[in-house]
Amino acid sequence: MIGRFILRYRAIIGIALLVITGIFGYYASKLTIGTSFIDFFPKSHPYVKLYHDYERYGGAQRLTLMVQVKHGDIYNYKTLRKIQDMTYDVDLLPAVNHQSIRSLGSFRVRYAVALPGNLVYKAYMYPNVPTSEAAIQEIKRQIFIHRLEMRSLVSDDGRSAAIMASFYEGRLNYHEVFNRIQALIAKYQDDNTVIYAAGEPVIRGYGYYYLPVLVIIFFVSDGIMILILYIFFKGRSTWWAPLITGLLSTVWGLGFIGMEGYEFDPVMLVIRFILTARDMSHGIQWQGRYYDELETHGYDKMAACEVTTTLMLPPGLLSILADIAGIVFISFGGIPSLQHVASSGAVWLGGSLTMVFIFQPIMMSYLPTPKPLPARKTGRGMLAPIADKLVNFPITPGYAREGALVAVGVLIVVGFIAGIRAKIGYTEPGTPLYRHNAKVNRDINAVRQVFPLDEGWIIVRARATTTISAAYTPDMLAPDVIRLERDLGRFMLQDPSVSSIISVAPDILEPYNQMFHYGNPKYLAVPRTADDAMGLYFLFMQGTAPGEADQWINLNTNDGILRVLLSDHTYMTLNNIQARLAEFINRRQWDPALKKVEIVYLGGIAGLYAAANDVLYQLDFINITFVLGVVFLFCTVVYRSFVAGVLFVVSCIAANFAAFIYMRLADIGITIDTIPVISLGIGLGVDYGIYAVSRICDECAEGRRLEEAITTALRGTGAAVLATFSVIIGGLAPWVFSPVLFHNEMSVLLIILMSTNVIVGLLILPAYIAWARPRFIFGGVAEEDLRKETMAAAIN
Amino acid sequence: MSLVPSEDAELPIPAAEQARSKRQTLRAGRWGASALTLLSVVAIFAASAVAGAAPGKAGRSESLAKPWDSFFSVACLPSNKCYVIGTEGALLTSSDGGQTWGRRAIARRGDLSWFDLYSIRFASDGQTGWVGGEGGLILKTTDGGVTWNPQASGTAENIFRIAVVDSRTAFACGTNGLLMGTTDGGAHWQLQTLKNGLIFLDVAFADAQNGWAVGEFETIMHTADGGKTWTPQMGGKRANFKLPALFAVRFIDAQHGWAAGQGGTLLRTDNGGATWQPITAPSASPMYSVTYSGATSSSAPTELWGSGEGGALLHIALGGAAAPKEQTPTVFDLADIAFNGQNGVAVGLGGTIVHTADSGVHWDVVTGK
Repeated sequence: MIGRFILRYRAIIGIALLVITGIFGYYASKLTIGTSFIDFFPKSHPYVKLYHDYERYGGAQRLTLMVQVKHGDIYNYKTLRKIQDMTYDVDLLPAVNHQSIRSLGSFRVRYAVALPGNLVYKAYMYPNVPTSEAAIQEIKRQIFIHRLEMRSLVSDDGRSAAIMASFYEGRLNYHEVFNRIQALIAKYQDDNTVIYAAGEPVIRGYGYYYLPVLVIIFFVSDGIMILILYIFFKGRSTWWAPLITGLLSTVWGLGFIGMEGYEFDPVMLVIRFILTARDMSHGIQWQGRYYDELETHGYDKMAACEVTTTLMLPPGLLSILADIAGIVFISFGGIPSLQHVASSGAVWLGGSLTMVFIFQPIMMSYLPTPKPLPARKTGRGMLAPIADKLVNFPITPGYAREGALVAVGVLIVVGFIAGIRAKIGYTEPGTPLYRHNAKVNRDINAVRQVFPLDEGWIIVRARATTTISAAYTPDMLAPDVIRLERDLGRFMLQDPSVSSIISVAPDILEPYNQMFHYGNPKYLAVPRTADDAMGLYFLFMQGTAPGEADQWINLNTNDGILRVLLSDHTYMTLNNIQARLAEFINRRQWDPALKKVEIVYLGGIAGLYAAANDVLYQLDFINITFVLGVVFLFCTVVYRSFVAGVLFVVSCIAANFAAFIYMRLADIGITIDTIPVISLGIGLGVDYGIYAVSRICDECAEGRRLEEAITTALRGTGAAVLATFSVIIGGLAPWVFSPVLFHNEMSVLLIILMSTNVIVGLLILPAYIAWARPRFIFGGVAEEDLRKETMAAAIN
Repeated sequence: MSLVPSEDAELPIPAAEQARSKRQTLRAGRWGASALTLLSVVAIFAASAVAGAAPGKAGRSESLAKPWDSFFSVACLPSNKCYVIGTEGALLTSSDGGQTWGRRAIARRGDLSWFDLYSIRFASDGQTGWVGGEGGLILKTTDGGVTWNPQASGTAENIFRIAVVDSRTAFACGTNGLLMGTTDGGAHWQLQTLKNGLIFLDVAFADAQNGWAVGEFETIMHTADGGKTWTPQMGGKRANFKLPALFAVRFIDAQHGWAAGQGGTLLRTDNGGATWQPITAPSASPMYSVTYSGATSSSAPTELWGSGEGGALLHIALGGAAAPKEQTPTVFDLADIAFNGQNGVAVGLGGTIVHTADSGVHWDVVTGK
């Protein structure tokens, strides 16, 4: 017997486990808090590869600061000066890409003026902001003339101006940048000037802003769980044992994260919390059974430890494998952050196998034997009638029980429909990480009303790579290729979600062509010859900083970019622009220019989100299928019954499809943030049924009639399951009030998941077993045969 | 009422591209050509029907003009019809002197691609007109702008301006020294490409014989034999980059005319161009087009109007001593201007159309960002 083995070598095994825990503890101390944005996207997806291949076009870490005046417009010295000073301050932010900074006050934002015999470039207000009213009005006039190019920096109504910058991904410290941005806002905001901040550095930075509140919630949750634990075990002297083993399992999980060098994202704290709660709940199951066995064995702690270990290890192993299955398959999507969650989660949950089912009995064997509880002075408690009804529900034939079984069937159908209609990706603008009315979402919505916030890249790549020389003009500057790019941009602009297109044709070559030809409007067009185009592009390059022109066309590698500025990155928007791009390429097959270049899409932050959307939908269903497969396989093996496998799969589906219904009703999409929680919920919930059914089997094996076995199991293991459930629900409840919407939605989702699972595990599954009386409950033989065998064994 | 532009069928492509695609066209065979022609006719008919049935309203500018629109030329006829052309084959038509507009696209290069159109001019019969455009494109109408048929121009140069003398006689100018004319309604265009490669930006004829062409480096060329020979009257020295480009020229008769150009250049002649007198312009804004207004069947024009950079509209009362005046109803460059009676229309970049119904006293922005 495994229990006897563990207790015989308890010292060696115990020390070994503590040493391993110590090693994990060392690595846990090395843990760093941080967020690696790119890890949230599938690294092998073509869009993500495209993003990496063309990172020189700027990263996804874009910051947009919007300066908006309440009264009047920005065309006054005070406001223009603010815009310029803020531009300088943004240039000083850590990890900022200095070449990416664009604003009305930037020297990179300028226009050309044609004079007889001369072509003059003018920045709108660099190096100095003009002080005279006439000069300020001239700026206003020039901005209006260059509306198409300036629309992403100055609003049509003249009330808002944007300062945009992007950051180097690897060097970005969200916490520091966020604080600096907040200081910058505080410095320049006044009675008439409001400054809004949007972009990934701000979104991720808010995670650190809320961190103190999240830590408080974390400790409040822990306090509630400890309190419930104390109440449940009625103050027995070793009531805290599950707490210790739960914490030691957590050390394993955290240690693994530190060992692998993963960063600990504060927004993902809820996932780590669930894992800890799960570890504790296994400990509670074990401890509850241990107290039951103590009473059965006359308070012989060694005997109780041995029996409990032997009896609890198989269902514990099964539960933990189901838990691990729930999280490990999310790594299939190739998304690094999910792979990190999967591997660390597997170790974290695996830690409870060693710390709860092996270390906990060893620890209990060394601790003093708990004293028996004093006999109750009063009779049954107030909740006893309710408990009786619940315990008797599965074994009482009638409309209620059969109706419940039918209701489960209906739930599966509705849940299935909700599941296949599940929304993928972001369902509305802003970030779903925080509440709709949170400052970050208010800012994002204010900015996106005026300026585009998301960007997709279309790469136009020459099929024949060449090196530029005086004797040869690259295909990228061939007029038909430029026209193709221009037409593509115009076609994309017809989509309402596309705010603006930035590309070399409308922004450089066409205006330069006009300016170079005396400002004649008819030359606001694609240059007629490749020589003209190259000459104009060189003219532009002469006025740029080294490398700056690469952001338009890289002549040596022969590729260029069209930046598609989008109002949001919702699933609908991303699908529309991908469909539109495909349509353009399909309809332009007649164009000889397409033989010279290939059009590759979709890069940029829009491409990253589109890549995640592509993977998530498949991943969700693959994950669920694999989890159910594992549940089926393990249950079939452990209970030696195909029927048992099917039964647990159906109960798992019933319980978890409720989550799909909630997600549909609450408009929660399947995103990179939500999928680990959903997956965890599936694995965690099935435990309740496993513990309850195992106990029913154990009771039947001892010769009890099925109805008696069910009521005994529900009064014993059922109570422990309820305690486990109470601990998790109690721990999750404070997260409902988290300032982070993701925590709120996920805690509600998990509460629903756990509730449906506990109902299915404690009422529906026993009700079905009482109704159908499957053979696996009786060890694979007929019920009467088992009872006869048991009675004969008892007589002998 | 939909204002979505309709699309005409693909038109045969002009000379340079014709040459490039000749082999493919030959391969396509007669059946392909016939099918293309049939499709063109059907599509043109459908497009015309849609455009005719769905005139735009002045207040619906966001639907009428696309964000990237540039309008380059306008023509207004005595019938009160006005036509505007621009980028991507844009053809806007108005039946009420320019107050309301409908839109369609002509001159399709291929799916999702159109030629840019630069100049539209009509003969005095109001039925015959020509459009000049990108890559030597010439389209002709004989039914007042309902249908447009391509003509072989024999050039791949951009045609920037067309001057129409009558329904059979017209002249055109453009890039790389292009000057050409027709005397048989466009069946044959006689090329007179000059070797100096100058860009000619405008051409005007006082009658069938006397014409002037202007262009870069303050060039003014004159013909007295219906375009057979051209002689320089002014400028044309390529080495002098400070010479302003002349964008516009217009003559009332063989003696009296005006030219305008870069840097506020404004020139007048009263002797057929033998001498040009500089006139002080109100600003340095270049004028891209000039036109006369105020003419009646029995009297000569009384005013000269110019449209130019930054939305400038130049107004000169002819025959008086009053100084030229300027107004700016928009900030966008206005490439062309036309009058018919009291109605006037100027068009330009940013999809801008401005209109006056009172001889230029007030201008309203019809479309434009």
